[in-house]
Amino acid sequence: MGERLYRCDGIILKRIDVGEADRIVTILTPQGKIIATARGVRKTQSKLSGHLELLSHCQLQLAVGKTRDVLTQSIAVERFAQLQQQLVRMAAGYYVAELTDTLLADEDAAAQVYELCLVALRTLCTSTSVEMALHWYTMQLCDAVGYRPQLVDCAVCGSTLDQHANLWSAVQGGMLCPNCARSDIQATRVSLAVFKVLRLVQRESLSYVIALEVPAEVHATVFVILRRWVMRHSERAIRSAQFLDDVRSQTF
Amino acid sequence: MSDSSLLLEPVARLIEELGRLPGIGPKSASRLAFFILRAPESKVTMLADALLAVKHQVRQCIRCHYISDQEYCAVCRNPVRQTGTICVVEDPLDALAIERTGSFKGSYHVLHGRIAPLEGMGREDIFFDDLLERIGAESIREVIVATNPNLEGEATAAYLQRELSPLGTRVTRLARGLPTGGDLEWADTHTLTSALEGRRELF
Repeated sequence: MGERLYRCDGIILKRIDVGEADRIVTILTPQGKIIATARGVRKTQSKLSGHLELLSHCQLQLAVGKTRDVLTQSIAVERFAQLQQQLVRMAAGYYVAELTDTLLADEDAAAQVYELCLVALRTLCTSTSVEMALHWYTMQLCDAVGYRPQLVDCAVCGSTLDQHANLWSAVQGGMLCPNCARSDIQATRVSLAVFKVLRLVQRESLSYVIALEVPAEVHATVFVILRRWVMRHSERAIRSAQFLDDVRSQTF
Repeated sequence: MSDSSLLLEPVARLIEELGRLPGIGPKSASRLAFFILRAPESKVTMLADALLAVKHQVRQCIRCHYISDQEYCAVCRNPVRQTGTICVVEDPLDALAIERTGSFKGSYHVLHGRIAPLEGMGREDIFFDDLLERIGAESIREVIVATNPNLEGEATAAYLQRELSPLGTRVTRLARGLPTGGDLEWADTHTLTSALEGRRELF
């Protein structure tokens, strides 16, 4: 008989209520995404519930089940409390959870995404630039799961892009050089600042990009570009995006 | 032979309808359907009547959206209830839970949902703007936010707070802490932190 119980670290990405007091929990672990049943966690006296909040980083013990594994123990290692104390951070947290759940399909990238997600969540707790952290995470996540946009060379002809490049084409898969403008007539014209932000969040570390000062309209454009990019590849709408917009519009 | 021809059409239809209920899978639905099939007609009539009665006789209170058999619910009709305090809950069942304590004397406001970005639920999907209207129309001194103590509930509470505080209304949140009969050892850090923050004098 194989091992019935196993342990792992994970981040809670999604929870769905089922039955009387149970929940189905989606967990991001370095080994892949696990969808497990947590029994009785909606009861006030549940020992598990406080350790299974959305986006908390937990040490988990699971039992192998027939259709789904069952959570038997959980200890919250980091609960990212600051995410819950401010509406914008909370909305950003939801956004991170949804993007991760939507884009990560197979196990290959899980270890990398897990690390990225932890870095992003830690930064979201303290950083003043929620936007930059979200751009960075979205870009790095796309990179890790195989949807890296072309930002160094032209997406069509492969020539090195310089400061004259001003067209973003989701259809062609990245930025276009001025010569290839005709390959996508619906390409979006973007400013040099937007292009630079896109390149920086792709290449640099989060601690580097977070310190940059960027005007609000650049953030807004980068948001739209990255969001459309994600939707194009996941073929799904990002439902938490609306809440994020709603909350952001009134805070900044 | 296929399932639908083995099961007669009325039985199959009943199973399908029962299967739409929350928490009822195909197996439970079949079991319930065959129980109904075997039960005496009087019992089945009672069930059918009860089902129709809730749809025909029960509606939402136009003020607080709690279930009611008249225009206003029993709480809103009661002249003894204080008018200056509103307790905001997610579901009618939550209002019922608070009502059972007997310690709340104000009125309720049932949102019929919560702000849950992952499910695409926003402020327009719940009775949120109604609450703002109520606060404008009635002279409300305090809004007690009694949404569930999880991330969605907190999001809803934070959102409410942001929208309500400019109106000059006092916005409070239900205390969080240790459940009666619980064990300190098993409490998670989050709950314990809240319990510590919300501690008070013994007597």
